Amino acid sequence: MSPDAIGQYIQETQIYRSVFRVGVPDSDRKRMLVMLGSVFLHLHPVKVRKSGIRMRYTWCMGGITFFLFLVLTFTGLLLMFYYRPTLEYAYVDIIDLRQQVPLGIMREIHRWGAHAMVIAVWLHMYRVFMTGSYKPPREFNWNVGVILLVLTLLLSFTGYLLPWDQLAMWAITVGSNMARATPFLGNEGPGSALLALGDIRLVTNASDARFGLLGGRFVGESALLRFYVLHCVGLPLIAGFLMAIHFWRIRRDGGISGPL
Amino acid sequence: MESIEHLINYLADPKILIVLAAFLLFVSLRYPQKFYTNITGIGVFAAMGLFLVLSIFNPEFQKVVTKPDNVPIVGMLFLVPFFTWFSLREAVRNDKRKAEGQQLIEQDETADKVLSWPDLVYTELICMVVLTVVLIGWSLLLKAPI
Repeated sequence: MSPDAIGQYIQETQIYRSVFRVGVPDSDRKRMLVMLGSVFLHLHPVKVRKSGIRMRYTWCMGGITFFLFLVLTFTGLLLMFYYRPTLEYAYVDIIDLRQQVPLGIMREIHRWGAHAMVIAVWLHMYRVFMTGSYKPPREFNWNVGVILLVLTLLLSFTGYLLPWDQLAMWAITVGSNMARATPFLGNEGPGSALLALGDIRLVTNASDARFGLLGGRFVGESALLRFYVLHCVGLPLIAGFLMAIHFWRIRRDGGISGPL
Repeated sequence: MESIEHLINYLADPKILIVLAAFLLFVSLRYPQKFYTNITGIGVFAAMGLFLVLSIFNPEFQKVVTKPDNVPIVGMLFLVPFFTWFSLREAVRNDKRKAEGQQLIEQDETADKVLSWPDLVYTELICMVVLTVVLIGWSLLLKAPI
């Protein structure tokens, strides 16, 4: 049998036809149908502006950021099989992942992917700024993007503690100390003294933003568990939800950046 | 070689470096059509590349730039100026077009629409493949720090 005949045979099987309903998109009608019929592809409109696919104009940074998020989700899931967020095992598990896995690069891909995602998300924001795509009607989506940027940085911040080495512990100690200065919510922040019932302050070092973040007054086991849960579940869920809004609004606001 | 090192150390003093960088940025934005051209771009990035290559011979510098956690920062030192130069070059081109009464480059293409399949989807696929290769290569070459 020739390769063409094999291809033809596969395309005529019931399994193939039940998954790929349109067949090979060899006409404009089928190219449109394939975009409408796929749960993944239908995030895109059927047609886009020519400028919207120009790397020269978009730098592809939004797409790269999303792809890196998927890579990090996948590699993070694999790392979760081996990493245990306890004082006893956290550091040892990271050392094991580093030294005992032959050709193991999942942790490397996760780490470098995280660096790359921060770079990509900054450059995406830079491109949006330089092309003026934050202006109406896209101002809402710009704000969603800013929140996503903050979430990306928070994902990096929470992930930094997980190796549970000295660098991680002290970096998070310094970082979380900043939460003390949060306006109203940090016990040393401006306005926190205003939140009081008579002489009793409501925002103290046992009830402020830093305490909530660490689950205590210092970086310990509670902080490790909180950062782990935030890093693996809480923040990705919020980011995923906001990404859905971000993508949806791109289409609602006139498509990928371009003059309106 | 030592005198060059001394000069670079002197220029890298934050007080001098930031003032110089701010001055250069101001002048470049005052006369963008002179700064944001292909020739100046190639010249600046060739000079930066040459500086990096020559500096690698200094063992201390080599230690700093090849430290795994610093590699993305070194990358940003090139990426940010590149994208700044690139976007401002586009801005200069668009300014020129406006002065000549023409539409912006992007406006010319706004009316043209292309099918997402294959144009957009294939571009995304190629980007994903390239990025995967880059990430795997990066991970194989450089061990992540703890």
